[in-house]
Amino acid sequence: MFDPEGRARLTPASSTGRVLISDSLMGCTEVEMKEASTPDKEKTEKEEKNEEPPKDPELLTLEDIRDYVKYIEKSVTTKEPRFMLRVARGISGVRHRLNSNILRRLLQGYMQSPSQLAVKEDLLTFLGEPMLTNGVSAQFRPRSGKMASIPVIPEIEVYLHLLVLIHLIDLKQLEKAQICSEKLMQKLLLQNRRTLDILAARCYFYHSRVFELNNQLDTVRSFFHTRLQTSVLRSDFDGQATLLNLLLRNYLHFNLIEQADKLVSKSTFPDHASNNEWARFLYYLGRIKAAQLEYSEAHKHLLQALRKAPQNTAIGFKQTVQKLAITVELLLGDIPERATFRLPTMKKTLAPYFQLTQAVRTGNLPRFNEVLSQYGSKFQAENTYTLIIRLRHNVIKTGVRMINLSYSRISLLDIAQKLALDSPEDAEFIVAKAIRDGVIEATIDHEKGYVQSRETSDVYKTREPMAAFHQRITFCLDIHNSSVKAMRFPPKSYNKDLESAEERREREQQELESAKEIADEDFDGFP
Amino acid sequence: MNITSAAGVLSLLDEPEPQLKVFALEKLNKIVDFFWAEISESIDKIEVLYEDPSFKQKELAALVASKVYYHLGSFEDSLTYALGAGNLFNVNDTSEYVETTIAKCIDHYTRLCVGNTEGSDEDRKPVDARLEAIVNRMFQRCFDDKQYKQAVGIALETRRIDIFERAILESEDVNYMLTYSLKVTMSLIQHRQFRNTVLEVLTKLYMGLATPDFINVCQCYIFLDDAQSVAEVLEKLVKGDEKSVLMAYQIAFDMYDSATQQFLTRVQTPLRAAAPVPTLEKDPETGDKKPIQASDESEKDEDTTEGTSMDTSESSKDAKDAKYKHLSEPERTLQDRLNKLTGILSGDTTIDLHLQFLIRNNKTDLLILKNTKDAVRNSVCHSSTVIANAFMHCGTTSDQFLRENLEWLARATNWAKFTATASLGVIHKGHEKEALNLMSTYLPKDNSPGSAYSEGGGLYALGLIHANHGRNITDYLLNQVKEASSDMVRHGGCLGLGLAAMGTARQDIYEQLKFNLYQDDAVTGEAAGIAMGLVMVGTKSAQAIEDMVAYAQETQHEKILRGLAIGIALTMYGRMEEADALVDSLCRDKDPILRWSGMYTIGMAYCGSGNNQAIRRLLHVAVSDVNDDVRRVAVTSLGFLLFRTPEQCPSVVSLLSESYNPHVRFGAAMALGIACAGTGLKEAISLIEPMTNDPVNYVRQGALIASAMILVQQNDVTCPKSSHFRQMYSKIISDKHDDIIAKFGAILAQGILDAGGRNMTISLQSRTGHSNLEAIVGILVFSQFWFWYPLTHFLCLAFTPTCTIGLNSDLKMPKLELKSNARPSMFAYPPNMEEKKENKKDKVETAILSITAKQKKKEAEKKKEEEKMDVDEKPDINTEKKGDKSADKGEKSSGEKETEEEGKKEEEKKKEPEPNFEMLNNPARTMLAQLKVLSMTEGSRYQPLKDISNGGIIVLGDIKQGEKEEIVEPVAAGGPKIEDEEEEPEPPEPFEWTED
Repeated sequence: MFDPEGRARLTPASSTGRVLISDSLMGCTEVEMKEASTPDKEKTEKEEKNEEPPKDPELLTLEDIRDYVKYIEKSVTTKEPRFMLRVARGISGVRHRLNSNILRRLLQGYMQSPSQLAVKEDLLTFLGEPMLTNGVSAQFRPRSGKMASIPVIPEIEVYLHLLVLIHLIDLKQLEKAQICSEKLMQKLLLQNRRTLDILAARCYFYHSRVFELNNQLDTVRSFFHTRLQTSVLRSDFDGQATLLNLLLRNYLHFNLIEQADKLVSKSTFPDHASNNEWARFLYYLGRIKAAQLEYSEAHKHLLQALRKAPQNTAIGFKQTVQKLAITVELLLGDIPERATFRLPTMKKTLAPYFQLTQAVRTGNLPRFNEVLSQYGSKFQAENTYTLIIRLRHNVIKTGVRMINLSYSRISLLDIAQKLALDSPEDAEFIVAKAIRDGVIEATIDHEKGYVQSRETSDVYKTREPMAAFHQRITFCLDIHNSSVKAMRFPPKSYNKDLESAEERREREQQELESAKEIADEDFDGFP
Repeated sequence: MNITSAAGVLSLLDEPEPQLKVFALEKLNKIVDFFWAEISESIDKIEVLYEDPSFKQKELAALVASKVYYHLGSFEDSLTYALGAGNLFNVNDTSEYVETTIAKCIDHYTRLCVGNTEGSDEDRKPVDARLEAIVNRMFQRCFDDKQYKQAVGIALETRRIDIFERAILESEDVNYMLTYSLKVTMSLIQHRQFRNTVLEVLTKLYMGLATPDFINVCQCYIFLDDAQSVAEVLEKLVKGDEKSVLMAYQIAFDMYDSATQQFLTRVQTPLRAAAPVPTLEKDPETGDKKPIQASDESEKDEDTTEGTSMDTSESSKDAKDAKYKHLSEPERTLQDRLNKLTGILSGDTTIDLHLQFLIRNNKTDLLILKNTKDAVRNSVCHSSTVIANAFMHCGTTSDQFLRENLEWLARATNWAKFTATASLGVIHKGHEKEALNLMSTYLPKDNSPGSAYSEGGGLYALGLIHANHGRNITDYLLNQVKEASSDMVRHGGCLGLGLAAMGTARQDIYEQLKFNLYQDDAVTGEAAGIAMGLVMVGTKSAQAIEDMVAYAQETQHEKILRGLAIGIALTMYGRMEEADALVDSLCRDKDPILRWSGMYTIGMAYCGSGNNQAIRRLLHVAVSDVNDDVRRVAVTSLGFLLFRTPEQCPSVVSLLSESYNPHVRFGAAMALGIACAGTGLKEAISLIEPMTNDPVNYVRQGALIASAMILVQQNDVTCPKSSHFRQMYSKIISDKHDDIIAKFGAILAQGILDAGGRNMTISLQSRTGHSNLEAIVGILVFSQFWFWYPLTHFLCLAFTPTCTIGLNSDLKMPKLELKSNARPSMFAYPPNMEEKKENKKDKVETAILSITAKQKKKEAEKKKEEEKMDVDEKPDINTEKKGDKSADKGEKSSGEKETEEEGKKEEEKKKEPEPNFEMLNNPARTMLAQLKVLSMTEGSRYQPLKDISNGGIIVLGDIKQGEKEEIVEPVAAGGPKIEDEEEEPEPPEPFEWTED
């Protein structure tokens, strides 16, 4: 089980190269990192510029948040979800720079209208007593004059509330966080605004997170069910995607794989969901399928999840997916590529799986057992143990195949020895099963007690290469199509670089005139 | 929640004991929201339970099934089972499930009802009683919550007349609800038949009010095409007291504004019969059919001005007069009133008043024409200048420009001569009394063989003068067409006849036109085709359609085909879905001309409706047809559909306006011009502007014309781009390198921009919101200038004077001031062009303005001094008169030099801060936007019968009856003249044609 909120996110410091690798089960959801690229970079630049008079970091954060709030307003007025997405991405960037002081100033600054006093007081109580710092620095006044008395739009209120909630989670004040989160949910239930959808989705996410940390995940399931239905009715894609994932996570947390499977099969995941939600969804799907013995399906989903995940971040998530993917691949009878284990971000955490792979690859059953006993607890923690147990059979099969490839004829006794089986009879049974499953192509001579391998056929004479190529080509075309679909064109700018009609007319006129001149000259030349 | 799976509960369903099953269902009902995914696997078991007759709790099973389907997103099934759940389905619940299901329920019910009312008998489906019960419960809830508007809306959607009526009657403000319902009905119901049913209910309700709202009732009757009822209402009103008589007049004016010629005739017939001395029918069937001689017609006009009937023969008139004398006093007044009423209904009064208004306020800038005339060199531009002149002077009767440039005019030959002659008809549009006299020089005569082109043009001109109001002239034209010898005369005659007899559907005229069509002469046939359409406009006459389509498929001449294409489209005017079958067959034809005829038919049939299906169809053809003409016409037709919602048009055509296909771009420009005509809409202009630089010449032409149609009457304040376009037109005209086709467009644009002496706008709907048939027809035929430029004149049918005219009970214009609560510059005339040298005329006009401004200031001062209005009125009017006189003088003495004093005054005026209101004299020029800020002056002796901000002709009630009224003096037609010229308006001098 990976940590959905992702501790291994990139901090601004890490954008300079330091990558946090969690060695245990902390994954990271993809979301966190993308946003670091834009606003954070700007920030670092800003910081560099202002190096001489070192600006108060709190002030910088406040300014950033003010920018985000402006984006929210812009998004609401223009009804353009693009800006809101940016804000949602920015949440994790802001997250690690928050402190109670900043939040307090934010609330004071934005919630000035009398009608929102109660809300403000309410939120302030969560933040506890103000710390006595070096004198209250200049008052943060994001809105002045008339603006101050107008209540902020619900989107901003929800945003600030969410920041408070996240901060409480970070402070590990889980009791408080739960109350805070429930209040936030109350607020959301009252609103029916499409501009709020994206923020609401983030809120659900943290709501679920709080309950998970409090080990009360089962209590929120019904709430998410109702919200899911609502968001389906309102065509709220972000909410739908997030809630579906949260429900799946919820079910899988309690190993209710069947329930999860039914939910997935009866509902449709929105096409328009963000890549991050897609990656999560595919991962959950992979887990469900793997548990239900549909390995090739599971592998496909996991691979897609890896591809959908952000390239440079969300390392924890990728590690978790990779582990499962390796296990499933092994179950499929394939051997993962060695390069997978060499990636710097993966090397350490994948080490047990590397050993496991080696055991399977060589069909070395003793080695396999050794690995299993050594890392068993770890595998259990990573939820791959049950799958890995199933591998034992694969190890034997691989062993048989290796033998089949290396020897054109071998006695059953030798096979038993090589596979550390008890008797040649056992070996005979296993080989017979392998032949029937199509793992190897051979015949058993029972009387003489040996196995005769058949000549391997040339794979290039079959249709297999074509099928493989076809699969790759369709994959490429799919990627192309979906990337075209994902492109956004700013309205009305498709003809910007075309020459304007006036220019064209001018040019044509000039051409005509010069043609005339040339013609005249020609005429002069030949009277 | 303590269970993690519904499997246990579901297994109970397999138990044989019904009690267990019921228990299971109850349990499932509770947990279905969270385990629907799991339960849906066993939905068949639940369905079986629902259908099992022996099972007691069927409804519970249905409810569970409904909820499962709801979660699965299959709302139709969910609804079916919800209906099966009976009372267990609680409509008053506020849960999302119930709300969604009810919404689906209403949608489903609406679909069923609409299908049942509109579909044929075979595909009529019985409506589930349970479904109806739920909808009824929702209606009841609307009533309980006093949400009457909602109830009206849903009732109209679901075709529930009973609820509709109830909602209106139960509401607190019945009057307001009626107005609201009428608006909704007219704008949102697209189905003609149902709309009529609703209107019938509305009229019933209107008449049931304590004080019946006759104005609205009559509007409804127009839509219902119920002339008899209108006549009854009018008759009742006329026999009532003074106020109701005035109301009758007002209604009659509104009727003329909105109804067709045919309808009005049908209203008049019973009214005439009701009079003590029944006036003779003017309809040719009963009236005298003797061909009218041009000479004695003019004489007769002299003495019929005060009378009502204009073409009754002398003898019958005498008899009538004799009878009139025998009448008693009350009968005499009744007779008078009825005469006036029929006069109004026949349109004579309205046309006269408009003519007066246009003559009086003519503000044409002759300098523009002069510059254009000097700049152009070739025949195309020559013709277009003549047409532009006609547009600028449309209805003003001022042929000054032509008379000043006779020699230049004489350059026109052949069809150009035809056009030039016809342009007189545009200038004298509505000047019916003098029509034959004016045109006598050009009309065919027995003795001298004149030029066939000018004779044809003369007949065409007569048609234009009497367009849509040709009772007095049709027979003359019919005879001329019968006797015509050359195809040019027949061409002009057919067009003129079509115009004059527009919408009358007279069989004899139709037969004559058909006869002309069957001559299979290209020139005659084209005009005959159009004329047939004009005569039969909006009748959907099966005979006419059959004739025209059959001949169109037969003829070899493209010209005839084009004429018929327009004719077919016109016949289907306003018939909405009734035209669908014809459109389908036309669109399947392999001949592109018939296909584009189909496109125009859509435009005509659905004009102003904004029907989505029609728009979709046009857009589809606009991008898919193989023929350029068809695509162009399809896009153009969009304009006809969208003219009621001009702000939508730019977004619909924005992509088309950037099409690679120049024909489509041209069509987009025209669509914008038609839909946004006269609005000055910024979005439309910003789409048009790039097209004025298009590389293709005809696209530029279209863009220029369309821009003028949009900007007509706009000044720099109302639309900042207008002066930019003005400059562009003159630049294009004077640019030697520019294409002739584009120049043609620019010259026309100049004419359109200043239409009718800057007092007319283009409007496809009347003030009361009816589609303006004359204007729509005019623009449709005008759009044929693409093929045949003499048809350009048709645009003048679309010009409507922007005036507010107050009338007293004698139908005379009393002196009256209206207050326009806006800065004078807001709706001022655009400034005249300034000549580089000294421009005398221009300055004289500004000087006049300064006088009136000064004088107004004086008035204001006087008012301050003396509070009593009664005393104040007289001297006021005297000064007013002086002002008027000097204004007249100024106009007349256009050649005189301006005095220095006036120059000084002008400067003074500039320094004064602009007042934020303006006083307008009756008849007032009021632009559409200006109507909103229009009000009566406080303490005025007149009370308007309807809100003055409607504009148009408004009948005024007089508070101080008996006192002497000041009447605005009528002005003579014929444009500015030298002062000591005789009163009789002079026809323009005959000009010589040089044949070269």
